[in-house]
Amino acid sequence: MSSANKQERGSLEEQFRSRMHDAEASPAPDLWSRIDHELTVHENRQYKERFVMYRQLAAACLVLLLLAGALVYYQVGNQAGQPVAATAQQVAANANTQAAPAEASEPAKSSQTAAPAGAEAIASAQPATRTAKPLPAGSDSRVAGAAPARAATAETPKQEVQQPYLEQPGSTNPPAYAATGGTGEPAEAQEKVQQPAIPDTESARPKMQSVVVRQKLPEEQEVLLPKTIKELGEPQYKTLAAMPATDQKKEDALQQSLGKTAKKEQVVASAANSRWSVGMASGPSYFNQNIGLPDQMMPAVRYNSFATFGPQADVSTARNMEAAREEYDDNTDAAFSYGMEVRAGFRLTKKLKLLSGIGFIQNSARTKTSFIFRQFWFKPTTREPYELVSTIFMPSLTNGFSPDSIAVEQTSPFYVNYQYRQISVPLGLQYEGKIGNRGWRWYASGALAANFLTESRITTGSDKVPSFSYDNKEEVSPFRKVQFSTNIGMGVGKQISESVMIVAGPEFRSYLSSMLANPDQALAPQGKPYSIGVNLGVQYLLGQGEK
Amino acid sequence: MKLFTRPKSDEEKLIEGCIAGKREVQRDLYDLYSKKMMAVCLRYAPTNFEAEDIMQEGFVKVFANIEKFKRDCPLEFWIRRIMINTALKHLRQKSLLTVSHETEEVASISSDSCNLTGYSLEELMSMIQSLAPRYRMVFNLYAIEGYNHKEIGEMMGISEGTSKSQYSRARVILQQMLARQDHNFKEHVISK
Repeated sequence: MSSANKQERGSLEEQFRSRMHDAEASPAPDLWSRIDHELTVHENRQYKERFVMYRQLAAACLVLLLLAGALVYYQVGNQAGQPVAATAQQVAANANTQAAPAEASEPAKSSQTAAPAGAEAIASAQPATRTAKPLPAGSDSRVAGAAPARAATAETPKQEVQQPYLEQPGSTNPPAYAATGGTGEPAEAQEKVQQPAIPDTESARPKMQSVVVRQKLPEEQEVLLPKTIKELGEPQYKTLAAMPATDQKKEDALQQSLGKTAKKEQVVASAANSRWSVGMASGPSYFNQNIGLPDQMMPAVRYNSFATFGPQADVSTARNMEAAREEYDDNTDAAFSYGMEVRAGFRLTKKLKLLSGIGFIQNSARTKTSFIFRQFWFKPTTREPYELVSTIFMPSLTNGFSPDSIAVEQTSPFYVNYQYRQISVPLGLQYEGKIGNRGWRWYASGALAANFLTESRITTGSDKVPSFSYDNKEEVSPFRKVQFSTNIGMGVGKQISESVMIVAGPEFRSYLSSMLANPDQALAPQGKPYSIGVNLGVQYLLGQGEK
Repeated sequence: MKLFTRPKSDEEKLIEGCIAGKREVQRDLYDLYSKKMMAVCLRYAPTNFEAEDIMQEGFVKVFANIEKFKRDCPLEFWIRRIMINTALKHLRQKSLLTVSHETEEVASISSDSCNLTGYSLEELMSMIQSLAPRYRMVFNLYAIEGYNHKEIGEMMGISEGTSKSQYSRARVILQQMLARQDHNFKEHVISK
């Protein structure tokens, strides 16, 4: 019970209270069946609303899945169209683990045409290893390793040129290969080639150690390796140039063979192969709703002449309406608006990225007004009469003025806030590039977005004017349910780790249609809304750091 | 794991059954409170027909929002509050609560020595129902429900002073009705 002031209560109140408070009366017998029916209708409506929501969610998922499927298909198609490049990448990826068997297989395949390294090479290496004879005492392992390589060079230049890429630091073969140069060796040297791969014999160990010592001398290697390539002759170098690997890659490969940056280069190669990125963005914005209120209604109300028909509002009401409209035009400003978005990116080319995702936007505007409108009106769906207490904004959207009952009251100023909540699904492109070498990047993006209006509310700072939401099913929302917009953004990003980058920059969102669903019936010019905001986000590059 | 759990009261079982949407439990809750709530609705509505409308809408609201009931007060109080709010909404929709500046002067009766023991519940109910909507609302809220004028002003969207003046008018009108009834009764007895 409330904190009523009991002292003011006399015996009349007490007697009424004691008699009436706990009184009982029998309702109509069919009242429960009416309630039962209404509950069933209510449950069905809720079920239908839930069904519609799930259906929309399923449709959105389907669209995203189709988009992802198309991107994957595009990616697979691209890979299939570039077999040579793929082979080169595979060779680079397998370099560390398969260098020795690949070399071992070369003698066995020396009479065949060049084939990609990998499992096939390992398989072919097995019989060759089994047929290998013990290394004669005092033989030089460097020579043994070099001989078959050169033999292969003579017949399969492409495979020979790939050898430096396949070399692994610590392997006995690179110095051996380098040391032998282009001097010819008899074909029977094939028998010796397998020995470095099985360095078990006592005789082989001192040789191996000496080779390792030689590997630790970078100056010597740097002198030797280019010399080797030079000694391969012009035809081999041409073959190398014909491959998709650039000169820079060759240098990288050489350095990799020296064991300086092998691990780091693998990470970079993995990053270079990564096409997918995910990110989150959020930021405040300035929103202009651009909703015009009609002036055409006013003269019919303002002038009470013999020429007009029907009921007329008085002159002060008409003046107040005019003043309220001018106040709306002058005092409508942007309020705090914001958006949040989850994005997935797919790199189409080195600098071009396809972006899509889903976001939430709350656009707000507000008006400082001092006029309250009271009039009798009918609910659009039920045709039930009620007293509508509002500002000029709401009835103007639907030309909902009732001249015979309208009264406009001037009060102290208060704010009216307009809030529009949307779910946004953008699809766009982003072009990006590097700024210097310290991890800074720039980007420019453009997107087309479908924005689904989920809620539109009008809240007031006055106790006399109730807040209003068009989610109420008794009212018909005058706002457009789906609005398309073009989003243009640009800015800078800073890579804070190998996989994470933060971005910031301005973003402009221009809607392609007016807020009102039927601008032609609004009797006032309707502009297209727009928002200018700041985009603050973080991007995570998928695949970074993978080995 | 709780070894000793407090047995659920009938009211809690009713609430949980209603939250689960069990129609038979909803019916039980309706049976339990329908008579009291019908009397409440009759006090706020001008006719029985409108009282039933208010009660129907009120119970639908109760079942639709019962999961929001915080259990910080008796369920009956919560349901009663919903009925009152529904009645207020009905009257507001019909624009019967708009503040008008009454000019009619009601003769005040200073006597506070009314005795209601001789009146039946139906007679008292019809007296309250015969009041103008805004008087009826203020009288019900203040005299019977026990709200103060500030709370009534907030509920009805009027000032505290307006609530007080409307209540005093309602009180005088009721006293006049009671005096008239007394007078008729005495004349009836004398004629006999």
